Amino acid sequence: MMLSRVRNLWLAATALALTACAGSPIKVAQTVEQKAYATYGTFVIIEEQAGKLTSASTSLPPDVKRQIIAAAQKAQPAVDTMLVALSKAESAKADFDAQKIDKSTFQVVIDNLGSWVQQATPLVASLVAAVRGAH
Amino acid sequence: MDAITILRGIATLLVNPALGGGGIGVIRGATLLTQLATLIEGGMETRKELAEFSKEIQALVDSHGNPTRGQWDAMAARDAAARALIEANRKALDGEPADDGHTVAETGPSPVDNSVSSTSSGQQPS
Repeated sequence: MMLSRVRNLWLAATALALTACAGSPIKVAQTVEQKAYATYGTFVIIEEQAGKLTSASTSLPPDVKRQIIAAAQKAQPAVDTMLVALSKAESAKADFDAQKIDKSTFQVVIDNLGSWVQQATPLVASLVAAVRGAH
Repeated sequence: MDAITILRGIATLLVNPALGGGGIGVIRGATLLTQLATLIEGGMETRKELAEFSKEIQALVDSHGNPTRGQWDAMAARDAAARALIEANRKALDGEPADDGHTVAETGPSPVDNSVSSTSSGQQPS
């Protein structure tokens, strides 16, 4: 009961931060690169908070700390894949600028990045839900 | 005085027998209050950071620009440090040895060297 209350409050506090619509970095971004950066930055900010909350200096119950850690680590692979796609997009842009690849090939790589951003974004935004699911 | 300070103050009063506090139920309530204060404080801090980050993104949008290499590098460094901290915290919770081979006490200080990248996944795109 107590763990559940603590966890739910963390969920509520983080959800409040994530859903502050006027201040949502991901909603503000427009280009694919901006969206990738906004998604990555949002993830890092939440990840840093998870690190602080789960440190030995906080009084949270160990089970709650484990749930927070699991949620943060669960989102990492999708973010990593998005970063790999971004790296490929940057290489493709250089190749396109050097006329080594045509526009359609370049567009495929950019679309791929956009796809990974779309997949990573809800994962980051639902980090809270992931904590709930880990319980 | 903010809400966090008030919550912590109430928790202190609840556990102090000299002030009429004490008792198992009351102490559990005080512990919960302390934890809630920690969580609310964390949530507020996160919200503030996200608002600041939104301004950074808005600046990019306004200038029709994209993130610079420096911005990506800075974010990657923060990512690596956060991952290292979380992994160290996980090991401490599970009683696993830290990177230096010593078991981390759960109640002890976090033995994190934030300058060390824990995984290659924190690398920025090249």
